[in-house]
Amino acid sequence: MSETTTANGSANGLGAETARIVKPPRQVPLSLMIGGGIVGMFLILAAIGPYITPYPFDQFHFSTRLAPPSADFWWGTDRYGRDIFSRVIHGTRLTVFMAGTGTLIGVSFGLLIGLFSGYVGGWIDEVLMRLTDIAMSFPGLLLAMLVVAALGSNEVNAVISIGIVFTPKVARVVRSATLGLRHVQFVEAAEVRGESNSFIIFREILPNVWPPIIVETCIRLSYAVLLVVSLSYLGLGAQPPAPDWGLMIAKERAFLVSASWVMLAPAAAIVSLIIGVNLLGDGMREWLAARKTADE
Amino acid sequence: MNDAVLPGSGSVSTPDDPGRPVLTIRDMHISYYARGQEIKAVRGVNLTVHAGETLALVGESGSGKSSVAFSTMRGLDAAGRLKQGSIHFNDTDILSLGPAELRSVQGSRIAMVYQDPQTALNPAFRVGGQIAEVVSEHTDASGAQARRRVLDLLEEVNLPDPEGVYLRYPHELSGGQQQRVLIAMAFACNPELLIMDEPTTGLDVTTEAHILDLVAKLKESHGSAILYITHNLGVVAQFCHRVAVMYAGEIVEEGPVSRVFSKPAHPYTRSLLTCIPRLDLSKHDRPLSAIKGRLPNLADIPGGCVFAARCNEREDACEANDVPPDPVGDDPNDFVRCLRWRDIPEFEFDRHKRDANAVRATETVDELLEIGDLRCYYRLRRGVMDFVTGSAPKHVHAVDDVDMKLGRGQTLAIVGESGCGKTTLGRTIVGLQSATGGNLVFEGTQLAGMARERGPDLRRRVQIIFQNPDATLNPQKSVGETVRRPLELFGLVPAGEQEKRVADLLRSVNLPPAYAHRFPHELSGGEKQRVAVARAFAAEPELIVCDEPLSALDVSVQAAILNLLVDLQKSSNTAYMFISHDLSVVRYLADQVMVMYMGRVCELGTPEEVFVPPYHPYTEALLSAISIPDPSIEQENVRLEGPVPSPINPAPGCRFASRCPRKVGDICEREEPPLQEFGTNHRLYCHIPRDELEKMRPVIRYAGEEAAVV
Repeated sequence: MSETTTANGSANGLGAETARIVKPPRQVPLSLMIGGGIVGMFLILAAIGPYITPYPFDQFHFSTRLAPPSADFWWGTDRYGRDIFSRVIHGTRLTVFMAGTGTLIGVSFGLLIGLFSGYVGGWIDEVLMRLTDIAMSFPGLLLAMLVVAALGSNEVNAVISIGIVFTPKVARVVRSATLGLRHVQFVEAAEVRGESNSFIIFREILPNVWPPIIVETCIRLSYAVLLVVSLSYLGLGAQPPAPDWGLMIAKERAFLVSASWVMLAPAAAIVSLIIGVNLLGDGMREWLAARKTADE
Repeated sequence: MNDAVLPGSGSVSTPDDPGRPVLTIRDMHISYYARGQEIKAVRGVNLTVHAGETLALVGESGSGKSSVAFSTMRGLDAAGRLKQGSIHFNDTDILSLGPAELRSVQGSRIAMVYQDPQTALNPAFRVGGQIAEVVSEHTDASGAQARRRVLDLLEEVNLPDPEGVYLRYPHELSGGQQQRVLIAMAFACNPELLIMDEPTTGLDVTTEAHILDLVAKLKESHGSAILYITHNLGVVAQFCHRVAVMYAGEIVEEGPVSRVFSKPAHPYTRSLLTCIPRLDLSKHDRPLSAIKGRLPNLADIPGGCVFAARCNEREDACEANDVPPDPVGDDPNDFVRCLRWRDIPEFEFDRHKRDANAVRATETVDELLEIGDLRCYYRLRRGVMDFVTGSAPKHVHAVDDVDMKLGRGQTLAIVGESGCGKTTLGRTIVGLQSATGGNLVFEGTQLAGMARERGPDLRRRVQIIFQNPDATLNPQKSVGETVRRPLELFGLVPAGEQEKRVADLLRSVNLPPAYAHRFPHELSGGEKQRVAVARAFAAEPELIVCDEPLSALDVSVQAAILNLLVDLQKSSNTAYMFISHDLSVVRYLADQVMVMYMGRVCELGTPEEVFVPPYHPYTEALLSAISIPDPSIEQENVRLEGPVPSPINPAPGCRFASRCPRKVGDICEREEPPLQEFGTNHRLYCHIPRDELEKMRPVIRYAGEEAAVV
């Protein structure tokens, strides 16, 4: 009997009535398409990059050091005469893989902690959330550096450090989404049936917190790219001669003025990947929100 | 106390000559655009509100009534568009006004009161300031004058201590008080037209009665015309002069309240009036009349009469041509859009007169659930200062010393206003929260506090149906998964036969088995609630706690679900504990009624005992506050005064004493009310002497008769 107050409300009511009769295609936001395209391109490069590059990433050409872009070397060469184009393409795999794995680790652990903490509540929730507070009181990069400094500088530890930085942040987002569902009737109905905690968490609540998790994952991914290249730049991630973007910028920064392409190429790759991921995240958020209102 | 209210004629005097038109809407068409579709929400609506009159616009959800109201204030949201039509306020064309001119009209000459007072008031400002802003925006009043005016207004809407209320923030007021503030704001500039959109829907019945009295009084003194949007026909009968009934975006019938309620012409209006359970009807008499089918798809309206698909009087001609308004009386504003209204039999309310003293033979039934001295307290969080001062912890007494029994296959209804503890009681029984003290015995077994501490068999035998159909189903699970889960969990049906059992269950709640593949967002509210019923019955329970399962549904859908619950109970012998605030629904469904107030039982008995004298004074007030859309029934006018006391560490004595219109004396505040028993099992907790209780007049009577309607 709760008659909808707003004109908006009744419109939605009618929308629901008609929803079952015709299902027009859902409009995909432009940002989702562009972001998806950019990210997809980088994923393809990561997969097939090493097979399509004109030169191996570590082949020296001493006769053509610091050469400007030309037909032979599309984006020029660095101080050892290595082909920058080949190195940037090669580097895609490393950066995408490290950022992706780090994010995956952070999201997985954050998801588990957030769901559990939010659903169980009480002192367990209190303890877990104070721990995340402590972890989040460090700036992300600083915490990652501390972890790598403690474990040793290499790619694996850089990935682990990203996972550790992200876990509490994701846990917070998931926990708040879980809290919103904690006393919703379908969850209470499951409790009355006597379902186990794991059934309620994974079968009743989890399917309903996917939208915020997907959006959060995209946001995290763009930070992960930044963290990966920052750590490499600081020498805490990939080690030479790996064709890592951050590492390339760090090693060649002396030539910024005399041979700017050396640095600009990896920088451009970083920027476009981050923009792509951000567009993907924004578009995803918009799309999921539109889907939600349409369903209601 | 003894002013009988005769709906439609007694309470509201029709203005002798219809005044000049204040609001004129001509040929209004509103469409919403969603997913590339045009949803024609309002089509060809003509409405005229005359000076000083109250026009009710009635309809169920999706009828377009709110769209009409919002477009009158040019407040349609972005997805909606006024495609065609004209709106005139006096002689001003509302649609041609610029933003500044529009603002000067809105709030001063046209005011609006919304359904939800909580969102209509700004929580960050004191209420006095918010009303004063309206006053100073639209008049030349100085600050002090505006303040004076606001205090007068607050007094006029019967708020106690206007000076105090002036300085309060919205959250410091109750829902009823907030609505009074909004009404004060609406009347601040003596508007010529007041648009009220379901102003009492979220309020308790006793508060609703007060608010309606107040609006009626203010309307007289300010001479405003009112456009009253509602789904509640009972309120219309009491409160309005004329009524327009909307269905699926069109006005199907319009006329004076006295005519529409005594001689409704349109089959839809008739169905609306008969699908509300009346106090003289019980499940033992006959099923309720529900409206079959559902609202047509407004993106693709079939030609002809818009109600034809659901109408019992349908002929081929109905679907062939558009149906023009057909005048019922001499007045052009008294019409019906039906081809067949002259041919169908004259409308009559189906009366079920029974002898109030004749007690239905109570079959002896096995006892299923016994509750003894049940208490549920919530401990309030103690602040730092409480520890410093060492004050004792405070408790909210949600349920206090409740005793009751429920037999197998019986229905016990628990009624009371919000905060009376009825929901807490239900949640305790299904094990969503544990009791503070007392006994909960189910078939001789003590029930443990939380559901998880109970054995699987006990959990299976006690199920729950919730109030809100939108939250009751997991949006990510198909209907089939939802209904199948209890079968799986309790191992009731072998895996191979579950599919078939799900189909049977869906059929038993009158849903096609193909619905198993649908997801909740593809269902209407009534259909979702049917799935919830199927899920509860899947466990083959012996007791189902129904926590207000109908209150979010339209009346026509309500009737269908009620019939369904009655049928299922007959075939499965399941007991219901039915929690509700709606006394007419309770009358229809219940074998036993328990009236609760602030955690305590006031009265317990069969409906035939509770709905006739002797009453508990609180039951009397509840009965007086329900609105019945039948002019042949009159009601005693009992209004509760005084504030609802705090449930935190309540004072000794009768909890109802502070608001009781029949308070005996100091004894009510000092001592617990004693149990007085009437008949075999009619229990009443009250200090009023027995002979005085027996002399009470029935609250609800057929006009001109003394006997109670039961």
